[in-house]
Parts: sequence; C-alpha cells; structure tokens
Amino acid sequence: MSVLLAMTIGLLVAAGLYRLLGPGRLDAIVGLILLGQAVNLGIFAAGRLRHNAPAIVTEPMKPVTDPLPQALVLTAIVIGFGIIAFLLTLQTRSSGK
Amino acid sequence: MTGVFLPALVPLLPLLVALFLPALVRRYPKASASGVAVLLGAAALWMLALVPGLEAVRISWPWVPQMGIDLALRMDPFTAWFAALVLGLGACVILHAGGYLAKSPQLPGVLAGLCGFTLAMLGVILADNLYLLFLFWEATSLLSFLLVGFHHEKEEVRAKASQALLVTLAGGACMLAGIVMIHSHFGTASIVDLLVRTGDGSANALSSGALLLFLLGALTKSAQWPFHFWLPNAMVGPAPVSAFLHSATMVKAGVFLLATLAPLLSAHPLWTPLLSACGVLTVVTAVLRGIRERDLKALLACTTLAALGFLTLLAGMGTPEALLGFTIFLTAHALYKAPLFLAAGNLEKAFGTRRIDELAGAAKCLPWTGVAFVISGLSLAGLGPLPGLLGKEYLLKATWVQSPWLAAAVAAAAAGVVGLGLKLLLPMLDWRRRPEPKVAVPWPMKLAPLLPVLGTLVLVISLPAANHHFLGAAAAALGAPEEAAYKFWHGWTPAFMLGMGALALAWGVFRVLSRPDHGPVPAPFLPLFEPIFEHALTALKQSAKGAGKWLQSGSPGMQIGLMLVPLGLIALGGLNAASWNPRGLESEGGVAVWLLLGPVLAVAAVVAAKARTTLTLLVSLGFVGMVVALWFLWFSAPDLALTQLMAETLLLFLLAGVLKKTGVEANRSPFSTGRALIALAGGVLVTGLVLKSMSLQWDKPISAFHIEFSKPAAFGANVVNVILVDFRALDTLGEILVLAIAAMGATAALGAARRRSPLPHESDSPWLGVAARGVAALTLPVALWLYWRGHNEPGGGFIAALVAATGAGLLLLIRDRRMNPIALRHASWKLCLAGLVVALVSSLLPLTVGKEFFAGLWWHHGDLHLGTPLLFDLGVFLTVLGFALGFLRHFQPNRPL
Repeated sequence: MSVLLAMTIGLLVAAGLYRLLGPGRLDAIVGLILLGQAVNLGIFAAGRLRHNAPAIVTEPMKPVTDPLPQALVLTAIVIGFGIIAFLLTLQTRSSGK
Repeated sequence: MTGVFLPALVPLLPLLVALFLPALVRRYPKASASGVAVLLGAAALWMLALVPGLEAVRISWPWVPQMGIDLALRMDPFTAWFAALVLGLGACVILHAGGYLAKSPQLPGVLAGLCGFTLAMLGVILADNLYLLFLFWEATSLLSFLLVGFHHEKEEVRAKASQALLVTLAGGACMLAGIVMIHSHFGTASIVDLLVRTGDGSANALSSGALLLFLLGALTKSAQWPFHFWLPNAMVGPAPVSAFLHSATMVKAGVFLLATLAPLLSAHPLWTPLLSACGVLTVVTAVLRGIRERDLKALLACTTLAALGFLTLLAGMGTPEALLGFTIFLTAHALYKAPLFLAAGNLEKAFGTRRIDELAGAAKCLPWTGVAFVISGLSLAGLGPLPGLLGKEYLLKATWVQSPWLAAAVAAAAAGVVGLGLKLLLPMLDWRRRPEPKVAVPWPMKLAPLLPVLGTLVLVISLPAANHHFLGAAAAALGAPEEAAYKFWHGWTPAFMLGMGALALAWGVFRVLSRPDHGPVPAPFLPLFEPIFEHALTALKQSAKGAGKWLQSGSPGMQIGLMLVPLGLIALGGLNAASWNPRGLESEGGVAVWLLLGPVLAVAAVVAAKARTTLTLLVSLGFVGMVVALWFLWFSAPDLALTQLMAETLLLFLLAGVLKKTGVEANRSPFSTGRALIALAGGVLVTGLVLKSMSLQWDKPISAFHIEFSKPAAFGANVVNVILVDFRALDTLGEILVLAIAAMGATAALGAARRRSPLPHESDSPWLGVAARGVAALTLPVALWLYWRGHNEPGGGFIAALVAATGAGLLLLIRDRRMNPIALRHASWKLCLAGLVVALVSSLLPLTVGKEFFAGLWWHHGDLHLGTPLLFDLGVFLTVLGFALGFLRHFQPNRPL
C-alpha cells in the first residue's frame, strides 16, 4: 500500500515536472499546482498512514495518528494556495489584461 | 593591562569624530582639514610618548568564543612606534590634502577616506587576532580603491583603481584561507600566542599550501613581484593619497605582517627562499622599470617598489639582525617617502607637469618644498648621515651574515636604487634652469612635507637617545636582539666596503643613463605579468558573459531545468542517508482504497500534464485535488481533507477566472521527449524519497508530547488544531502574516487597473442566482460553526475562512452587485488587518498577567472553556478570509464559463 502511494506521488511529480518545463505561459503555474499536491501528500505520508484513527483525543490512551505532519500540511495547503493565487495575479498583470 | 591600553586608544576618538562629521568638513573644508591634522598629530605624539618602557599588552573581548575568535588588540613598542608613524604621517597627508584639493567638491569625501584609512591601518597594526586583522586588511584595500579612484570620471583611473582592488582582494581572499589553515594548525589565531610557539618546531610542519596562501595576501598587498604592477598604476590617485599609500599604510601592511610573523614562520623551509626571491626580483624589476620612467610620481613609485622588495627580503631572512634592519628601513622609508610624494604634489601643482626634465631646477623656485624634497631624496639614496643610510647599512649587514653572495647581489640592486635617487635629485638641483611657477602653493602644502623631514632630522640628531627609548625598543619588540642600538659608523666592515662599491656603481649607472643622446632606453627583460593579469581578467569576463547567455536563454523550461537537475542530484544523496527499515512501510487501510483512488489520480495527473484545452485542464486538476482530499480523509486527516477541498475549490475558481480573462489556451506545445525524461527521472526519484522517508523509524516522535498534553494543558481534543493555535502558534502567526502580505502584494500589482473596471452585470439565469444566494447565505453560519468546534473536532480558523470565502466566490460567480471590486478590496484589507490585530492581542494578553508570550489564558465554566488560543484562531479566520477575498476579487469571470 505504501509502495503504491509512493508511486502515485512519483507520478504526480512527473506530471508536475513535465508541465513545469513546458514553454506555455501557464505551464509553470499548473506544474507548481501538481507539484504542490505531490509534496503535501509526501509530507503527509512520512507521518505514517493510519486508517480511522484521527488525532482527536476523546478518550485517553487510544492510539491516534501523528498530528504534526498534518498541522504542517494544513498550513502548507493554504500557503500553497496563496502562492499560486499570487502567481496568477502576476500572470494576469503581465498579460496586460 | 587595561589601564595601559585603553588610554592608548583615546587618540583614535578624534579620528572617529572626523570620520562621521562630513557635514562639518563640508562647511569649513580648510579649517577642518587642519583641525583633523592637529588632532592626528597630537594623537601621534601621545602614541610616541607611550613607546618608552611599554610592556607588551593585550586586551580582548569575546567575539566568537567557540571558534577561538576574539576582538583582541595588542600593543608593544614596535606596534606603538609604527602606529605613531601612521598617525603622524596621516596628519601631514590630511594637512596637505586640505590645500591640494581645496577647490574640489569631493574634499570631504577624501578627508573622511583618509581618516578611515588611518583607522584601518591602525587596526591592522594593533589587531592581535588574525581574523580581526584580516577585516582591517580588507578595509584598507577597499578604502585605497576609493581614494585611488578619486578622479573617477576618467576611464583610465577607474580601470587602474579596479586593478589594484582586484589584485589585493584576490590576495586577501587567499590570505583568509591561509589564516584558517594556520589557525587550525597552531590551534590559535592570536599573534601573541602564535609568537610564543617560536622555535618549538611546529612551524616546520605547517603545510606549504597554507603558507603559500597566507603569503599571497601579504605579497599582493605589498606589491611584490609578480604582483608588483598595480602599485605604479595606482599613481593615478591624488598626491596626498599616493604619499599615504606609499609611506606608512597599505603597502606597508604586507611587509608588517611578514615581519611580525617572521620569527615563527621563518622556520618553514619555504619561507626564506620564497620571500628572498620575491624581494630581490621586485627590486630588480623596480630598478629596470624606474630607469625608463620620466614621470616624477612613477619614478617615486618604482623606488617604493624597490624599498618594499628590500623589506620583504629582510622579513624573509627573519633573523634578529634582519629584523633590526627591518625596523630602521621601515622607519626611514616612511619618513622620506611621504615628503617626496607630497613635494611632488606641490611641484605638479605649481608647474603643471610631472615630467622630470621639465621640472629641472624647480627646487630653488619653491625653496621650502625644495628643501624637503632634497633632504628626503638624499635619505632615499643613502647619501649623507640620514636614516636612509642607516637602513641600507643594516640591510647589507644582515644579508652579509646570511650569505656574502646575497649581500653582493643586494648591493648591486641597491646601487640601482641609488641611481634612481640620483635621477630624481640632480635635475631638481640644476642651477642653470629656472622654471616659473604658474600657481602659488598654499601654506598647508608647504608645511606638510617639511614636518616628516623635521622628524627625520630630530631622529638623526637624537639618535643615541632615540636608540634606547624608541627605535631600539621597537626593534627589540619585533625580534631584534635586546639592547639594540643603531649607529652610522661600524668600522671598515665588509658591508661598508660593499656599500662603497655600490655607490661607485650607482654613479656609473647614473652617468650612463643621463647621457642626453642615449635615446629611448632599450626595454630590458621585464616579466610582463600585467598583460597576463589583464588577459586572464578579460577571459573571465568573457566566459561569465558566455555562461550567462547559456544559462539565461529566456526559455523558462531551460531555466527551471537547470535548477531542478542539481536539486535532484542533492536529493539522490538523501537516498543513502540512513538505513532502510521495511517495517515503516507497513500501513493500514488495505489495497482496496488504492485500487479505487489510485487509478483516478494517475489518470487525472497524466491528463493534467497533457491537457490541451482550458476545460480539460480544469477538470483534471479538480480531480487531482479531490482525490487527494479523499486520501487525506481515508488516512485519518479530516482537517486536511476539509482544507484541501476548500482550497481546491477556490483555486479552480481563480484559475478559471484567469484562463477566461487572459484567453490563454492551456497548452499547444508538442510532446517533448527531453521533458518527459526529466519528468520521469524526477518522479522515480521522489518515489524513492517518499519510500525512504516512510521507512525511517522514529523511536519517539515529537508529537507524542502534543498528543499527551493537548487535552490537559490546551483544553482541545483536536490535536492538529491545538498545534496550530497553541503549541506552535508563533509559526501560524508568521504564516497568516505572509498571507496578508501576499494579498497586499496582489493589490499593489493589480489594484489600479481594477478600479476603473465597470461593475459586473447580474447573471442571466435567475435560477442559478437563487441557488447560489441560498448556498452563500448558509456558508457564513457554517463557517462560524466550523470555527467554534475546531478546537475539539475537525474544523478551525483556516477551514472556516476558506468555507466563508467559497460563499463569496459563489456570489461573484452570479455577479452579485454587493461583490463589486471596491467593496471587496476594502473588506479584504480590513479583515486582514483586524485578523492580525486580534492574533497579536491574543498573543500579548498573557504578558499582562505576567505569563509568557503566547502562553494560553483560560476561563472555565463547567464544560465551557474559553481562552486566548480561541481568540488567536479567530484572528487566523479573519486574516485568511481577508486574504481569500483579496484574491477572489481579481478573478471575477466576466463571461459565463
């Protein structure tokens, strides 16, 4: 399962890189979106994958998943959104419309 | 120790004042130049008064103690004597500059530069730590560049000043490497501590590379062969600057450092042969070059080169006799070279020329300048009982002890220098000619060259006393024998005979050279290192230009690829960083979910990579984002799933807006094998890295603490949210600050253009309008509910803000009138500001009751827990909402999708 997930992340990276290296005006932004997804998934996966054990401590001593990578990825998603939005702004600006 | 030292530093204070008061200098240029000169002169006398009976002292403040680097200064009779010379000559030079550049608007800058130069040179002399010395060393290089480049409007001046800078800085960089290696070899970077190791054999074991690197710094600075060419070129600077550069500062820094470390490092087998060879070759080059010069300043520069060659030779021998000679030679040279250059400046000013033949007989037209020039010139040539003669005597004496052959060679070279001295002096004394001065020379310029000459005469007259208290003490501190004393007459020693022979030879050389019909002097063998340097520099610039063209081809793909490849290589190293642990790869959840989600993600990713139309691109990207969200949900991350879902929705909304507006078709480029190969390699590499990161095993993750204390200490069950708003709230504060800045940046980039755009029209479809308004009306309550429950259940400020922003996005989609750009802009920045203020207040509140920054304050009532982390989360909510609105307003689709 972990191997399959890793391969999927690798595929996302490959798709993102292919797009990133393209000559089109929006290629770099689309590439970064895909790479961002892959990186978020990668950090998330590094925290181990657990099913049905969200980090919500309602009863003591019940093992839960590692919350730290989740906290990191949560802000990474929002910041990533901010970066892409800013790039889109610059793109709009440079296209003069 | 401090009691002796700190008073010694008091004279430096007026220097600082002079350095930082350019306004005063601008207002009273003449008075301030003389005033600074008087201050420096007083400082010089103070320093001089310290020399007799001074014990070696050191004072240090910690700087980088863990690396053994201190802000350490030292003072002994030699450094104090040298510092007094620098201060005294600095006073003369500044006095002269006040007259020489009186009409120049750049006078304040030059005066400040000269003061800074004096300080930097004093730093080199007094620094105990080699790293500190290096800093001052580089400061002298930079300041000399500014001073030499005084006439910066001329191309030639700029080129020559840059050349001097490049040569000395390149040498300085080598020296820094050498210092690091010497530091690690001896275990100390303190000069005092290094000299303690003299004679214990540790210097023999120093690697030759370290020594060479270290010497490169000193040799380039002191313009030794083969780096000699920059010094005559630096003559393009104004006369006072040249006088200072050549007499006591800059070039003397190199030989000073050599002589200081000579007792220790001369034990190294390379030291003496290398430095002797460089010194002798420098003298020979200088004489050969000087023979051809007709320019007064250039000829003086050649004699400086020769003197530096002799000093390097003396430091290279490193014996007590040689250091005895070094001290008097250094002193004599400083005292005669400064007045010579200053007088040359006066002659240039008065007669408007620097050609020696045109200046014939000038001495009697400017009597004061002439007296200074002639006495100094006699000292240079070693004719008459002057310090220059002492320097040559002790030079020959020290070399004779080393090797009679070397002494003979030195005598021959010295004969050449004497010949140059005659070439300088005799035309000036030509009584048959009487050139007319065109400009009157002001008094500070007349006085400045006379002061060092006065010093020279005092030194000679009081030699027995000066020996004991000043010169002898200074030489002894450098490493000469104790109770050293200088005297002119030593009897009929071999050194004396050699000197006499040299004089005869010099006269012969001069007679041959001064024959009027000798025509152009044939260019003898002069190693042409300057062209080599210039060619190397040109080649470097060309290759940089070529590399720039190749690297910055203008193709984004190429650009990004060049960054990615090294990154990939670094990442490849990460694969070998630690051992694999297959146990870490076990995970819960089963293969079934992958079979469901994996293929969807794979297909969506490939389609997104190849998408050729806007719609395909948007749909495929949407699929990617949604599948990732589902994945988060499956693997126990409900908060992430919610965030991802909302961010993805907003992102697609923005992207659609941009694509519609700019009309960019998504992708028209053909398939490229190269790109595909790089992409594939990257994908494989990342697959490996992800597997590696999963396989690493932690014994005790940091989050164990977070899970344990989430409920009891932070009163929240949702650990992810508690981490964001409590445990690591400072990070979050930084993040929302970044988001607010991004929103402002976007406003700055697009703001003006948007203001004029017409208000959007209502949508054509009434049903869409009703449905969108209905959903949008629900988003705000839902968002507030998500925010409120976030501390204990999935939710929180980030998610709530994105949900609310989606509602605003819906209203934009139907072009609701309330969503006009101006209203959105105001709402955006107000929300961002309010959010940041709320977040800051919540972090500062604990300080009011004596708790730490960001410590949570809680108020409990039954099951209700209210606290500052919740307030902080509200700040996050407001900021993120403002940020999202700020971006959304730029992307209102004017046409339906």
